Amino acid sequence: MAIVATHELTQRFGTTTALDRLTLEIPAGAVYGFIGPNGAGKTTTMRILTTLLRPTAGEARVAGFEVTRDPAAVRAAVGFMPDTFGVYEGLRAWEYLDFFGRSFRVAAQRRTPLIDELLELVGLAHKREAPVMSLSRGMQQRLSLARAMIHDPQLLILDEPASGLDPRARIELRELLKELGAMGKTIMISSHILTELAEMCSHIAIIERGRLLADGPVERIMRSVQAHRTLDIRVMGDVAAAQAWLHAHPAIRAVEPAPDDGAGRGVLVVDFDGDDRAQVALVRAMIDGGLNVLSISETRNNLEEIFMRITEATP
Amino acid sequence: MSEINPLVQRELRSRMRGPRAYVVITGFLAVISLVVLLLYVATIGVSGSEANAGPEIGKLLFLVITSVALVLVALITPVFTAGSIVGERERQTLDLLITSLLGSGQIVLGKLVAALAFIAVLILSIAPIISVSFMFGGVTPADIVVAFGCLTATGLFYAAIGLFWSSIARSSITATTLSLGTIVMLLLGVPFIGVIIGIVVTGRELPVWLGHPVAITVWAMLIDSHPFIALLLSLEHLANGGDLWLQPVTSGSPLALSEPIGAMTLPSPWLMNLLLSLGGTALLVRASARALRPTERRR
Ligand SMILES: Nc1ncnc2c1ncn2[C@@H]1O[C@H](COP(=O)(O)OP(=O)(O)OP(=O)(O)O)[C@@H](O)[C@H]1O
Ligand SMILES: [Mg+2]
Repeated sequence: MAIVATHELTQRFGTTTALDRLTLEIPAGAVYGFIGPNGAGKTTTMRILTTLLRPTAGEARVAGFEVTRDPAAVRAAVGFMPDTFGVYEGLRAWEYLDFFGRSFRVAAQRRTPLIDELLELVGLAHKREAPVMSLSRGMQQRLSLARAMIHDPQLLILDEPASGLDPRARIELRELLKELGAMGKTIMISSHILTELAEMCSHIAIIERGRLLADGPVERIMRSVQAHRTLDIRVMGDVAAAQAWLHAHPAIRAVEPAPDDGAGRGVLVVDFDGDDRAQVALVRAMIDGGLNVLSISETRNNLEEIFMRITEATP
Repeated sequence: MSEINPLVQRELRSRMRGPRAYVVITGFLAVISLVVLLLYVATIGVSGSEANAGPEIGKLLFLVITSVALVLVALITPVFTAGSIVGERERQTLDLLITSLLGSGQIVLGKLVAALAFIAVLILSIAPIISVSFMFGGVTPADIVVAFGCLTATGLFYAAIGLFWSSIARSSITATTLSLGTIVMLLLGVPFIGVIIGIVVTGRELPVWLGHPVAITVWAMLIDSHPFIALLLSLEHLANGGDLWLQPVTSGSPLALSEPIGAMTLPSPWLMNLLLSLGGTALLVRASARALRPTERRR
């Protein structure tokens, strides 16, 4: 069952079209990576799904409720973490959560234990009494995540939760999100830092200039671009001759010595167009052609590259 | 529903923690006390020990205290509420409130009630000072009702004005400027319109429709919408032995520049002011709540 479904969602701001007939689905239980460059329309989509923005045209349903017709039901189903953290001066961490707990009508006797559980979950139990203002950026980010979960929503919508965090905090956040995914929450998470999403997402959507370029389970997205792969081929002896031989092969688009191959280990980076079968044929041809092949390794295309390739392809 | 609006609770919690509330109340009382003191010293010198000096001094003190308090409330209140909603916008917490289960009406009312709680403290804090004027005699309980009626009406309505601009503006400074601008316009505009009408009307034969109850009521509403005019008219009405709740109104009578051509009975000016303020507040709260709903296409 899809927990989020949009149909031809369009958002115009004056003459800019921020979203152009966006149709997407997020299956329940998915960790859905929403990827796109700056200005692609990620935040706009999320603001529509959280009832903050009324779309110019099209429909969006969250947990079965249409966002403009039944905003209250949508709000109850969604926990939203915007790309900014709002601070209230003069409130402590637990008071901050308590305030939003009240705003979501969480019953008083449930609130107190819940706040402690959430602080524990995001690793802020020791900061319970600390003023919100005094928390570090990463801590505020985690507090914000705890806030988004205060009413136990089915869906978490997180707008660039990792932005502005140091590498350590990023890893912590990623672990936390994995944990939430394992708990069965559906998570929609936007980012332009793609490698981060690669291993934690079950689904990926790539958006650019308001249009959906690709979406689906992460393996499928990877595979669809995987027909084109990068090989590291290490040869012994005459590297230049090997490079010339490879260059002449029809399925090979480019051959270059590995950039970090100063030590003369004879590694060539090959941009190869073909699937597994074609790759086997290539290996056989190399041996038959008299190349002294030491090793071949396939560098896995990471999301960053896929993303660059997909967005490049559209003029 | 047994729980208090969370915004009210949070506002009071964080507001009372900071020094601002105490500073404002202290400043407010200091200004009023200073005026009273100066006035007291001045009148003691002038009136000496005449027999009826007591009630006269009491009346004067009362009028001055109430007027100064009214000016201060008129200026402090809108500044207090002008930052409320736009402040959430600036802190980027407004989206969090809107996506919570608080309705836009609850957000606006929570902000208003939190501000009113403070304004009520402000208004009640002058009670001890007013009681000084009471001791001199000459001031009746009805006068006190009128004074607190006008203060309450002003606090409420002007708070709603600040709240309204706060829900629309994109920055606190804009909201504060617009609120104070609106209030200055209201305070100067009504006397200005009154004077213009007075000049136009003087010495002319008035058209008959001005004697119609609707025309009289509209005229009275315009005049009584001004808190200072309403206060002075009500106190004068009481001093002349008039009723606390009702007033006879004749067309054109507030300026008394021409022969009245119609008469009727309406609520007393301070009560008119209070009713108008309640109505105006209700309208402004609705408009503010509407401004928070995401029908807008701007951010
Ligand atoms: N309130 C607004 N008024 C006018 N234009 C807007 C508004 N909000 C967004 N836009 C425009 O819509 C487009 C999409 O913006 P959006 O914020 O959704 O992008 P994004 O994918 O979140 O980008 P980023 O990665 O920078 O956060 C941009 O061209 C932006 O300028
Ligand atoms: Mg964004």
